[in-house]
Formats: sequence, C-alpha cells, structure tokens
Amino acid sequence: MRNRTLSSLILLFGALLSSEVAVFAEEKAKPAAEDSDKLLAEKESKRGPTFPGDDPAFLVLPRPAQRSRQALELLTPEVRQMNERALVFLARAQDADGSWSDTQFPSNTGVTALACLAFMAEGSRPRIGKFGKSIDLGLEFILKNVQTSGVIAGKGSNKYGPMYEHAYSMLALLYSFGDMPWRPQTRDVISRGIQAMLKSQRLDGGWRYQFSREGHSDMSVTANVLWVLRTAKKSGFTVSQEAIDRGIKFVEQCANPDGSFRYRYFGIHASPSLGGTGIIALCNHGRIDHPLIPTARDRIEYDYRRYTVNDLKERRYFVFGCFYASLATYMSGDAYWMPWFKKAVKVLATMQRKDGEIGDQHDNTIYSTAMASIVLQAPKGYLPIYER
Amino acid sequence: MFSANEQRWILVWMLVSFSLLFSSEFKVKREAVFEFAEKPKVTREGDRVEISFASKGFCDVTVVVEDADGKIIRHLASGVLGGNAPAPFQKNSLKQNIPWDGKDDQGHYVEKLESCKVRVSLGLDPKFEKVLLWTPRIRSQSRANSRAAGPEGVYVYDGRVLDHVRLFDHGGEYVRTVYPFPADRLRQAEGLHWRRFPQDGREIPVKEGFHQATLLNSGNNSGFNDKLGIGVDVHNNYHGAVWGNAATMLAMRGSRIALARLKLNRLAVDGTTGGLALTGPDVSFPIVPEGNVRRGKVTPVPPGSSAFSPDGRWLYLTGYAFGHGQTASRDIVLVRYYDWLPGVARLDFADGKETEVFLGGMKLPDAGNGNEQFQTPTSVAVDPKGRLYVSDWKANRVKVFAETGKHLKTIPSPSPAQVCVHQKTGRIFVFSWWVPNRVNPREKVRNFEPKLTILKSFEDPKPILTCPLPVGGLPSRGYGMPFKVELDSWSEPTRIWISAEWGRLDILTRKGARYGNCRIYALADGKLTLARDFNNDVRRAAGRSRYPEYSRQRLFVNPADGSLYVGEGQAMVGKSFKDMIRVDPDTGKATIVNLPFDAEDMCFDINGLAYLRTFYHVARYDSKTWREVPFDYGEEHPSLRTSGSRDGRQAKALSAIRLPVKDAGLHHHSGMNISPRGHLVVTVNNYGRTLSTRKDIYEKPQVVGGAAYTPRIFPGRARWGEVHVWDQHGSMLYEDAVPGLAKADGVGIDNDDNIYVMSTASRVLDGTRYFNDMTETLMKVRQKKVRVVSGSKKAYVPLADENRPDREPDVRNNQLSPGWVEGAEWFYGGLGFAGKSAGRSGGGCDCYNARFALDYLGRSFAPELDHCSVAVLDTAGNLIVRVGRYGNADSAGSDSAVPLGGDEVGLFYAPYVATHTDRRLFIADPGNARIVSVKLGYHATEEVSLE
Repeated sequence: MRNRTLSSLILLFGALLSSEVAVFAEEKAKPAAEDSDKLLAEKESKRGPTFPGDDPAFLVLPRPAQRSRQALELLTPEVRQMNERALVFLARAQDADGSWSDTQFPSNTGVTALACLAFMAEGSRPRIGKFGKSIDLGLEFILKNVQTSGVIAGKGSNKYGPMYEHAYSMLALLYSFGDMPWRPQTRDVISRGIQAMLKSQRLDGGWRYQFSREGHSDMSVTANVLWVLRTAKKSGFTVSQEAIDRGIKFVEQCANPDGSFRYRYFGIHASPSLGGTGIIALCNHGRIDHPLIPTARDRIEYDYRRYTVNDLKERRYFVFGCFYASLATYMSGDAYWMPWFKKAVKVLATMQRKDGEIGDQHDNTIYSTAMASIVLQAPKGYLPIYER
Repeated sequence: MFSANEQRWILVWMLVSFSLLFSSEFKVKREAVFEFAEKPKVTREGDRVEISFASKGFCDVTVVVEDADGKIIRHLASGVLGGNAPAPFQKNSLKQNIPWDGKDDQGHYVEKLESCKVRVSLGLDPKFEKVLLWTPRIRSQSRANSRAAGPEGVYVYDGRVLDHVRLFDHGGEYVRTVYPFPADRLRQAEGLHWRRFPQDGREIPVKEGFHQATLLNSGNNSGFNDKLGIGVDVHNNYHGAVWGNAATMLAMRGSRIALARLKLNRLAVDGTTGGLALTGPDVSFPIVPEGNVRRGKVTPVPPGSSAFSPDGRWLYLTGYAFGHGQTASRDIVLVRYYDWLPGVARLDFADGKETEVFLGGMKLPDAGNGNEQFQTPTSVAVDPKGRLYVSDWKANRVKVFAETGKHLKTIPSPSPAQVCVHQKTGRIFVFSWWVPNRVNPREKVRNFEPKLTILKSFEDPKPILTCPLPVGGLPSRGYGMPFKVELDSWSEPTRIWISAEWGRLDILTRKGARYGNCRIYALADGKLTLARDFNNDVRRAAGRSRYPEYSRQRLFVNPADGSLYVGEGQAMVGKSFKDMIRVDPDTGKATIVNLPFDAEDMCFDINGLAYLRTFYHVARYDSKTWREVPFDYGEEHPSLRTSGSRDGRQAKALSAIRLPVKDAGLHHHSGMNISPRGHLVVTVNNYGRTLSTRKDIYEKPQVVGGAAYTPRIFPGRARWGEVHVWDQHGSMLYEDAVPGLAKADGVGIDNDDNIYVMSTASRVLDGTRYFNDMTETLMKVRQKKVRVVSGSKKAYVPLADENRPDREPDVRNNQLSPGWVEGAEWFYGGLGFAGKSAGRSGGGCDCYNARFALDYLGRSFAPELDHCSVAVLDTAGNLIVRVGRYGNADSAGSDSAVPLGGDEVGLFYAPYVATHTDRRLFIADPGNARIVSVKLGYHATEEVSLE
C-alpha cells in the first residue's frame, strides 16, 4: 500500500515537473492559467529548491517562469503520423503470449518491456487507454518470465546475457506497478530484481550482460542498471548508495575528455551511441552539476548538428543511441532539446519503412521501433523518463 | 616429327597461349598521356568541396586531401579514366568532378579545411628507391654450404628452395651475384625454359620445381614438366620440396663454376653458363636406405666435395654420404648411422658425357684399405700440378693420385675430414673432426678435438703446423659432413672459411645457428684468428641472423609512421612470428620488436594499432608500447599463442575477438586486413569434414563445419576459408562475407566494405586456365553479394550437373575444381603461388605462399611471381601499371652494376608486398635476399589549397 502511495506521489510529482511540457499541440494556452503559473513561478523561485526526503538528489526545483512551447512546436502532424504508424506496427507485432519478438531476440522480455513503455508514452496504462490491453498482456508476459534468481528473462534472451532485458523489464514494471493493483506480486518481483542486479555488480563498479561479478563491465549496461536503480529508489525501494557511487565511478572512468564515452573503460574508441547513456547515468543520480555533463551534452549537440541525416542513419545502433540522447538533451533544456529533436525526427523519418517499423542493422524492428516511438512521443511528457 | 600425344599438347599449348595473349585482363589500361587539360580547381560550400579538373588522356588519376603537414587525411579516388573508371570518377570523361564531404578517412569532419590542400596526380610512376634488409651473407641451407676460392675472391653457394651463388672478396665483402643470373646475362644462360608471358608478351624463363623458385635444375628443388610448361616436383621428395636446394657442392676453376647435387649445372663466373648448356650429367650414385625412410627404395646420394683439374676440364667428385633415417615425427627424421660410398667420380665438364667412377667404387662392398680403395672418402682436392688428394677419414690417411688415376702416395694422417691444397705454396692442409659413420660412440664424438695440420708439400709431407680448429661445436647428425672449410690460397695472410651444418637440434633451438654461418679465420703466427663472422654482418643489417623460415617475409606497414614490419616464420613450422623486424624506410635501420605472443598474422589500422591473431583469436595492441588495447566486445583469454612449441610465446588478453573457428589446422590462415574506418576482415580456416552423401548433411547438420561454426551450406559450397568482418569495437559486422571461398592468400577491405581476396584458385579465362596452375586469382567482391560455387564432387552438397552455371568457370583448383564466383566485380589472375592448393603434390605443404596489398585508395598491389613483377590495379580492376622485371641483387637502381631501365625494380622471386599508401611500395624478394623499397610518385601533380 505504501508503495502504491509512493508511486502515485512520484507520478504526481513527475506530472508537476513536467507540466511545462504536458501540452498538446492543438491545445491553446489560456492567458489566465499562464498568469497564475507566472505568479507561482516567482514565488517558488524566491523559495528555491526544496528537499522532500533525505536524499539530496530528490529535490523539487522551482517551476520555470515561462511555459515551454516545445510540444506545440515539435509535435507536428508528420511526427504524429510517424508515431501513429510506429505504434500500429508494434500493436500488430505482439505475439499471442503477450510478448514481442525481434529478429535476434525472440519472445524477449526486454523487447516486450520497451514496446510497453512506447504505449505508456502514448498515454495508455495497463488495461487503460488505446493500448491498455497490449500493455497488460506484455507485462503479464514479463512477470511470467521471472526466474527464481530474480532475473527477468525468458528463453529468447540475448546470447551474451540477460541484463538488458532484465533492466528494461524492471523499468516497465517500475513505471507501471502502481497502476496494477491486481498484480500485487509485482513489488516483490521488483525487489528481487534489484537484489539480483546489486549482487552482480562487478569489481570495477559496473555491470555487463551476465549476472556475474566476474569480468569487466560495459558502459551501456551499467548506465541502464543505474537508471533502473535510481528509478527504483525514487519509487521507494532500498538501493545501496555505495553500489550507485561505484557505478557512477565506473561511468566516469569511461568518459573521454571530448565528451564522448567509451563502451569499456579500457577501450579506445568512443561510441557515439553512448553520449546519452553517460549523461543520464550521471544526472539520474543527482549529479546534475557533474563536470562531465556539459562536454557530453555539447558533444551530442555537435554530433547531431554537424553530421548529415545520412551519416547518422548509417551509424550502428543509431536508434539505440538516439533514445538515450533524447533523454539527455531533454534534460538539458529546450535550447538543446528542440533542435536535437527536429534533426532526430528527420533521421527517423528516413529510416521508417512502409509498415511503420524502424529497423537496425541486424534487421531487428521491434526494440528499435519502440525506442523511436518513445522519442517521438517525448514532447507529450506522459512517460516520466523524460525529466528536467 | 611429333607423336600424336605431343601434337595434342602442342595444340593445347597454342590455344592457351593464343587465348591468354589476347586476354585484356593483363593489359595495362591507362593511356600514357599524363598532362592536365584543365588544372584542378576547387569550389567549397560549407563542408562540401568539389574538385574539378580535366586530363588530356585516359590515364590513371589519384585525388587526395592532405593536411598542412602533407599527411593524407582523405583518400578520395584513384583509378584509370575511361569506360571502366571506378567511382567517383565519371565514366568515359576526361573532365572530372570529384565531390568531397569534408570528412577524413575515418568519417570525422575535418575542422580546419582551410589549412588543407587537394592533390590531383596523373600517372603512377613507381621508381626503385632503395634496398632494405639486404643480407647477402645470410645462411639458409641446413647443410654446411659450399665455397670455392679463386683469385678474385670466394664463391659461395647457399640455398634452400631458392638458390644463390655470390662472389665475396677475400675479406668477405660482397662483390656480385653469379646466380640468379644477372639480368643482362640471362640470355647467355643456355638451357632455360623461356616463355612468352601473356601479361606483356615479354619472354622470361619459367622457374623450376614445386615452388617454381629456381632456374637451376641440379638439385631436388627443381623439376619441369615440358607438356605443361611449368615447374613441378619431379623428385617426389616430400619435404625435399620445402627443404631442397640445387647444390651440395661448388667448384670453380678459371671461368667455370660447377654446381651439383643430383645433376651438374654449368655456370660461369660472369653470370652466364659460359657458352655451355646449363644442364650436365647426373652426378649422384644410388644407395638403398636401411632406415624406415624410403626403405628399400633406391635413393640417389649426392656428392659433398669436388675439385676441378687445373685446366678446368675434369671435375672430381666425392664425399658421397648417406644417413639412414628413422622418422621421429612427420617433420623430423633422426639419422641413425651413415654410409660413405667408397669412391671418387669424374666427369668432363664440357662434353656432357656420363659421370664415371674414377677411383675406388660406388658400392658399399667396394670399400677397402688398398691403395686404390677407400673406406670413408670425405673430400677431394687438386694441387696446381693436377694431383688428386683424397681424405679417407676412417682409414686415417690422405691418398694422392695422378690425373690418370695412378696412386702416387699415401700420407698417414689421423682422421682427415677434409683436405685442401694451397694453390700457390703447395702446402697440404688437413682438417680433422669427427665424421659420422656407421659407429658413432658418444664419448668419442664428444672428446674428439678438431684440429688443422699443415703438411709441408707433396714431396715432403711432414707436419709443419698443428693447431686447434675452431669449428664451433660438436658435429650434428645431419647430412654426414658436419663442417666444411675452404682454403683461400689467394689471400694474404691465408684465410680459411669455415661453416657448419645445422642438425636436428639446431633447427629446433637455433642454438647451432651461432656457428652455422661462414666464419673467416686468418692463419697467422701459427694460429687461426677470427677475421669475420657472417652472422655478425647479417645481424647488423637485419637485427637478426637467422634465415626467414620458408623464405617467408610477410610485410606490413604501419600507416601512422610509414615504418615497415617484417614477419618471418619462427614458431609453428615457420608460420607464426614472435618477433618482427621493424625497418625505418628512411634510414634503413632495422630493430627487433618483440611481440606479446607469436602471431600467425597481423595488420595495422590507420592509427597505428596492431592487430595480432592466432588461429582462434585477434587481439589489439598499441604498436609503440605493445600494451593491449582491448576490444569492447571481446573475451578474456589467459594465454594467447599460435604455437605450442618451445619457440612460441604467449600473452594474456583482456579482451580479444574470438574467431568462429574450430580445429583450425596448421595451414596458413589466409590473411587479415583493416579498412581506414576500422572494419577488420579476417579469414579463418575451419576444418570441415567432407561428407559424402546428402543424407549425412541432412541428418547431421552440426557436423558440417564442426561445432564451433556452421556456415550456411548451399549446393557446391566448399569450405576451409571463411571471411568475417568486425568493427573497431570487436562487434561482428558481416558473417561469412564470401561464402564458399575456400583457401585464400590475403584479404583486403576498403572503406566501402568491398572485399578483395586472392583466392588460391588459378584463373580461367574464357574457358582456358592460366598456363601456370600454381598461380592465384585476385577478385573484388561485395560482402554478402557474392557466392563461390564449386563443381567439386567433394563439396558438402555436390552441385548437380544440371545446376552448374551455364558459363565457363572463373577459377579452378583442387578444392573448388571448377569454381564459379557469382557476384565478383572483377578478377585478375596469374598471381602469387598457391602451393599444394593448386592440386599438385610436391612436398605436401602449402607453407610457401604469397600476399597482395590493398592501399587506402583501393589499389591492389599483387605479386606476379612467375613474371617477376607486381601488378597495380585500381578498384575497378583496371591494371594501372606493372612494377618490376627480372633482375638479381645487382640490379639496384640506375647507378647499380646491372641497371634495368624503366622503374629499375629487379625481382627474382617476390611473393610478399606491402604499401604505405601513395608513398612507398615494399616488395620482399627472398630470391635476392632483400626487400625493395619503391617510391610511388606520379608523372604530373597539381595541388590546390583550400584556403
């Protein structure tokens, strides 16, 4: 019960924070509401940030003095149409058991979780909304694939190990378990999932595909795990601060001076897709003033500004990188977010095929379409993964 | 005149020649007009730059962007203009517009465009620059090598598959090469197999033997099939094809040089055959082996010692030793005991008559203690008066005979292993050491003290000096004669050249190599003093003294600094290398680089990172520190190594790429290469059991290709060579990129992910195979858009006859039988050396091979081994130019002893190449014991600043 309350509070809090963005393009702003917002903003500005809990990272910032117009500008008819086609494709692609299957990842919990998140970004909730049934079936599939170890992964797991699918499944459950009172076991599933993650933190502080403490970590998996842990912590679950600090340290080790991040701390080649993961790993844990963030943010901005649509489209794992970059640039404010979004939409538009799907170089279409759809729906602000 | 069979072969030969002579594949495609009609101009709009120019002729054009330091940051285009001009050139147009997106080769935008310049060059103009790693004193053969002193110096024969006869002065300084024949004397070498080559219509002698690496035919590395018109292994000598050579003895007198092992070869000091036919009579005598090696099969025994009569007419031969061998392993034969044929043979050097038994007999029972009998005749020498001196080791005496064969004198002498006569003073030099024979008691062998005894004269043969002989170690159990000396009668003071043979232990440990090479001792004050050690010279020149195993000198260029790395066979039967020679091409300085582990192959990326591979893994290193630069997607490995032998070296890897291969086999693994943007192409040899029936395929699909990797099988698919591509993170980009390839000798990848591969199959042109079926074929393919279909019945699923492509095959060898390459952009044949992959027996080994090089402009540099040249092709397969022609080591530029004209690049046997793009081409020519550096310039160049 306490968790449900907490979850609701968080959603409310998220909604408050994102009220600036929760604007539909067709909605006309009302002058009276704007005035009251302005007055409240001035009042909160004088008061400064407040800390409702013990965690210094869990703060409530004053609302901005001016309402963001980004949703009005970004959610163009073309974007809406692209997203609509993507969602229809996803809905049609769902298997009878509630899962989604990708070329490389058949009946995969992670792919299923991302598809559910894409529908949640549209505004649907489990059993509620246009895609409520799909979400419900998807989450049911995820819960059916919880192993005794707490790991959420089915038979179609990544051949390297199940950490990605576990992390995405955890995110989907964390963002929905308050809306599923009919599945009370979810809380326990999340709790055991967190423990499984913490147990497999490696000696270098990060995580990798396998649930094992042996071997070296990678930046991408680590950022995802940190994201999950932070989301869990915000939802009221207990997460060791030491584990998070060690994870953050690993992320710092992977950073290059030019704002890019290496996939492995011992690697040499920066991975363009990792710019966003680095920022969200740091920001999610309250390090919004971390010195790495400005250079990493500028690097993403440079990449999307300088490189052509074709250049970006040809990049490996473009959609994957684009998804994390969307989180990072959204977090950085409209000055970064809006031009980034426009460029990203151009690239995604060229990648979208006739049935609405967006593929990757391995001919996977589900996870990439889901991620692209979440990006396209970001201006709506329904999914609280987009925060400022 | 000709039999019906011969007439048929002649007809075939004529058809082949006609077909190939008129094939356009081998023609240089460029027009030799190298002038600009319009000089280059650039227009710039933001990052977009357009370069326009016009050429007066359809020549080859190269367009690059250089930074302020002159470093090429973007290789834009290179190719021959015209109907087959490669992209981005416009076809059939002399006027060209080349777009540039403002990015460097790695896909990053260039931030300071204004400091860059565009260079447009017309007409690649390769020129001989210099010789690197020139090591005329290197020792390659395992027998103690033969020498012969004359007034002008000492002639030295050395050879292992490749043969060399060089003249050194009395101090050991190199003077010139007698064989390979100098280019300007080649026509005066009588009896070579001349052939008009389809490449350019030029006549060149075709080389002999399984390895097609020698023009001599005196030894067991030779052999020629007149019908086929190519060198083959006629001796069926198994490993002899790998280890064989032309001579076990060398003699000279006046202008004549005799070289012999199984047959006599007649040479002359001027680099010709002295007006005589090269090929003389057989010089060997038969024996029946008693060990399990060739047991019961009559085997020829070659002579180990020879001497000319003073007038040069007669050549005396003895030292016929044979070791009865027992196989210890597939590669190692242990000799149990030795027999010496108890006779001296003689032949008339010029008349070509059969070799006759001159003294004693050539059958074992002929041995005896009579005046005209021998027990162990180990050497023969002739004094200025024509008297013959024969050392009889076991009989403890030196016997002297008149030119007629009449016994003149017996000089008692303890264990005379070799006898020499000073040609000016008549003093007799008797060298004694232990000579392996039927009974070799270990203690006696160890305690035997080698010594030199000088006898005053024939008339008064009393000892005037006895001193220890520094042979440098115990005699090995090799070929019977553990040491050889040559007395230089014309040097002052008198010098003695000593060398040892390498025994089994020496080959495994290389410890014996210290004494194996020539050492020159001066005789002064009653003792021998070391004056020169050839090993030291070799070490100074190349950083090492040992011979590159199998003559394999694989070349690699670090594009970051232009330095050349040479990988020579060390461990794993000469396939892997744990040390490399780094050569600074500017200074020629060679240094040894210790690699973390013994690598089977390697390549450098554009930033200078080195990728080393074993059969199963690829690991990446910083080539300055040799610290690992792990892959993002890799696996930890506790001990990377190629060889399990004591010659190997191993290293722990943090994150290495695991190759999809199981049971890789000992064969060479076909190569690896990396594109400027970091895409790594690796070929692997997967052992795949040949399944004979379709039922097996369908019921046991996991058997096909082993458990580790199973590629898609299609009818007509052969296995062995599979090509995969990874990105710089170690993530696989293209799996099984060239399905059905089978074996290859090198692979390349360009920045557009096109794959270039030199298949070991020989080219079939318009239904006719290239005349030399040991050659290979270079082809350009697009990954995943190519398929090699084999007509072999041994394919996993044999191609049904009705499904055979309705056209002539593209290539053919023993793996593919006829092979059709579906989707290849172009082919170029007549390259490299395919070894056993060609289908001819002859040693059972494909250790000898070849490699091509791909530069960052997509140009292929491919060795035309039999043609003594390197073909340069553009990315559309147009032959731009051909580098090199026949030449020996004395052809080294316009001011050398034998200038060649043209590019001045002289080659004899040059299988390995590497290139520093648009700067240098390196050609390893073990046939001349050197690496040739070729400067890559242009006939016309214009530069335009982007300022």
